[in-house]
Amino acid sequence: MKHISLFYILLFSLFCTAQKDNDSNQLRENHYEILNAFINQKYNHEKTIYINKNIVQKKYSSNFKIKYNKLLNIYKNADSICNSSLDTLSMRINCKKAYFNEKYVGLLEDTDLDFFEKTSNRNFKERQVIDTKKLIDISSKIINHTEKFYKEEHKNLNFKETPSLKIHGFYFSENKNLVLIAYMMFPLSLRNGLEYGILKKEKGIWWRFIGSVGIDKTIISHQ
Amino acid sequence: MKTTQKNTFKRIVYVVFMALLITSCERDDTEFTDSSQTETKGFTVKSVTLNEVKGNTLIKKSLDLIDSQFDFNKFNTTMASKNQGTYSRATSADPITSNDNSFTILTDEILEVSTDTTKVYTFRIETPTKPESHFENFVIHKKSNDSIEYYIYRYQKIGLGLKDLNMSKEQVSSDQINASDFDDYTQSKMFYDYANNCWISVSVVNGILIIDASDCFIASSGDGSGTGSGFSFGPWAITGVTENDICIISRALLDAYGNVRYDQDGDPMYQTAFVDCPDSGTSSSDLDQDNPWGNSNTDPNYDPLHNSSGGGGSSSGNANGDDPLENIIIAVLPSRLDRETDAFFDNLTDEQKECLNPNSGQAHYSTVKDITAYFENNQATGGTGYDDPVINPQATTLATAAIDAMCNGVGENFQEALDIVISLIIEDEIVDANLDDCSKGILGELKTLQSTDIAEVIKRFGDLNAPYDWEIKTETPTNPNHAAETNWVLDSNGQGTPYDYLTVIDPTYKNQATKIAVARTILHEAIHAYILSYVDDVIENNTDSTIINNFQDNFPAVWNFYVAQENGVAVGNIEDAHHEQMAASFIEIIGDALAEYDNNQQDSTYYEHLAWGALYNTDAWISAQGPGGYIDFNEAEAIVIANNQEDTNGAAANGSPCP
Repeated sequence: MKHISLFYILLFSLFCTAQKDNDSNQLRENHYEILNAFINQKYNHEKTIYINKNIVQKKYSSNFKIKYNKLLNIYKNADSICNSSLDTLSMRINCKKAYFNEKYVGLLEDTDLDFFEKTSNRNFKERQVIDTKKLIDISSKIINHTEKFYKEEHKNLNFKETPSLKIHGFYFSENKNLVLIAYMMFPLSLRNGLEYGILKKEKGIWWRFIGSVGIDKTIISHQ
Repeated sequence: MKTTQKNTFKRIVYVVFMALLITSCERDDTEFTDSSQTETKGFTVKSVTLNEVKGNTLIKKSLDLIDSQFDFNKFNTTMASKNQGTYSRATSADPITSNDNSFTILTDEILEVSTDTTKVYTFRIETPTKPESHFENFVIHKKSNDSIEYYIYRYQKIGLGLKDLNMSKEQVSSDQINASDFDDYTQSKMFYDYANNCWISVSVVNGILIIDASDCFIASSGDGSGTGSGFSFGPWAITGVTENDICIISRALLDAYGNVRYDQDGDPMYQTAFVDCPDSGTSSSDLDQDNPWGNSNTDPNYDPLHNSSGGGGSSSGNANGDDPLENIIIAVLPSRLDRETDAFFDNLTDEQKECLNPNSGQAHYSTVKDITAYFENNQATGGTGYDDPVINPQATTLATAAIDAMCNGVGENFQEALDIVISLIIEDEIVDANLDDCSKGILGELKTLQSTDIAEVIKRFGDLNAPYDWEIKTETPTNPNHAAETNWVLDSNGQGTPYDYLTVIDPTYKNQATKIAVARTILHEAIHAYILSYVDDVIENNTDSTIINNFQDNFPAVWNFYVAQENGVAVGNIEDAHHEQMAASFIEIIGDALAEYDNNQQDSTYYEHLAWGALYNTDAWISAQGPGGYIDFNEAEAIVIANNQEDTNGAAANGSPCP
């Protein structure tokens, strides 16, 4: 009985740790590690990036599950055509598409997707402040916004300090080997809206950027 | 010193290669050789600045006397020049316009023709004072008795050849001239070499004379300096003058066909040398080691620059004591833009000319003016090659099509015809290959609508020079409940492709709706794509405040959505924002377009009702029904019914379904 209790306590404690990561608005070393890796790999082509120091964690969007499954379907269809088509042009398009989307296969299980939904289910009101000095790997790339920017950001769009990265949340998987980072990169966000970057921890040491998925509805419909 | 000079020269030659000059060409009328100063048959021709004109004491005195009598307005313009290798503006000079606008003198090309006792200065007049003139010059003639006379020389074309000109003179009262504004001009001139059928430009850049004959057809005539090995040299030309008055001469290496040879880097091959300028009278004994007279393997001992029997003799004055300038005309010819414009009219078919100018002359002149202005505003930009046309080729194509349209009775004038042509030709750029036949037919009719606002919307995607691509096709939408969807074309990561828009129309919808409902749907989706194209403009030009302000001013609902989105407080989605904007700004536009499409068979209110389709939940809809709004309950109901009937081809629908 004692052992069973200990086992439950351990299990509960592990679950709570992961849940705490998602149900928290506190930035820890882990978050800075992820931010460093994300900006370094996703925006390695950008010479400089403004970073919005404020983070107000948003709840996880269930649209991610839809979009992720769509990527898997794209891979499946493309791979199928790639392996069966006799048309060179079609093969060229689909084999390439399959190759670039294969990275999503097996990356997330339904349990992971459910975990995100279950543990990141509220919008925070309190804001956290990114200490850009902790973004050591990318310090030469990062520029802090001016005070004027923060004063006016709720009133208007600022095209003078771009590109500007704004983080809207971190969502960890249960085993904490995978994280989704919600972000918008202005002004591209006018077209792409909110995106989730997917990062996977490799060998328990470093974070690898897998890809980005658009979350916002962008379809403009008639009726 | 010489090495520096050579390097400087080589740099210049790399930009503007000027090799072949017609030092040995003999002509009866006016002969130019290879200098800014050309002496022949008792007179000298050179390109001068206006300050030099005023430097002549007698002329200045005369000009100063009349200085107060006329007030001239200066305005800025730029002139095309060939001398930079591209058609960038090499010189800028202020033309001078009289108050009565009788003529405008262009002052960037001035020729001075002089004898020992007389001088003539010739300027180009911007727009001919007579419609029949091909071009006109303004001429100041200082006579041997020191009197000054002013003329307008008019050149009328009597044939297709450049020499087929009739010339007439009109003396201008000295009271009409005020030279006080003649300042700051750059020397340049251009003349036609009949022997080689080419234009030669002469100008001064950074103190170095540039004679640019690179568009000449280079015949093997040259100076006879064949090498016997399949190539030869062109004639020597003075291609520059150093600050120490040392002349730089060059000649091009020609292939067996007389064309300029190029090295592996694509640069023209040439020989060059530094020599004393002809008028210094020095011999060629001190020539540089590269001196082609000294080391050429050809037979170039003939020195065109010092040979009195050649084209560049040193004689001056007139043995008979007469003023040869009384009978010699040296014209400042039209600009390259003007020449291309003239060529455009020359190349029109007889039918086109006939229908443009049906025995009256006036209509033709008016059209010529319109087309000339159109070409002036549609010149090729950036990176235009030396031999490429200075007028945007698309402009000439469209102008030709507009003339054809006018000949077929389309449009009251050139501009109207052009607008119609653009609406017909350019809008075909909208991709509809995968659209069902019925919708394609409807789209085709919508493209030709003349309602200004909707034409603007559709035209945006069809402009050949614009980056926006819009494809519309029949396909099941992402959401099967939607009649149609528009979005950016998405890449494999689901991200939008800049400037690429796709509209899909549900095949079920087009089968169940009336044609006017399909037309409304296409217009509705066109406006979505239209707004997306402005979003792209902002993203891709995010440092251009004009573009950003324009977007904010014209699409405030969409702008406000983005402000909220960036701050994480957006309510609804971008689709809602588009619909808000559409309800606020596009109802009337869609209504007018539908009325025109349907030949106004219904009351205008009906079309406006249809325009409200899919916009029922917008703030604009709600406020239109609120206190003070213009839609009452009955009308709101009528709007819903009209849309429902047309969307389903109901019993009360006014439209007819696709076959």
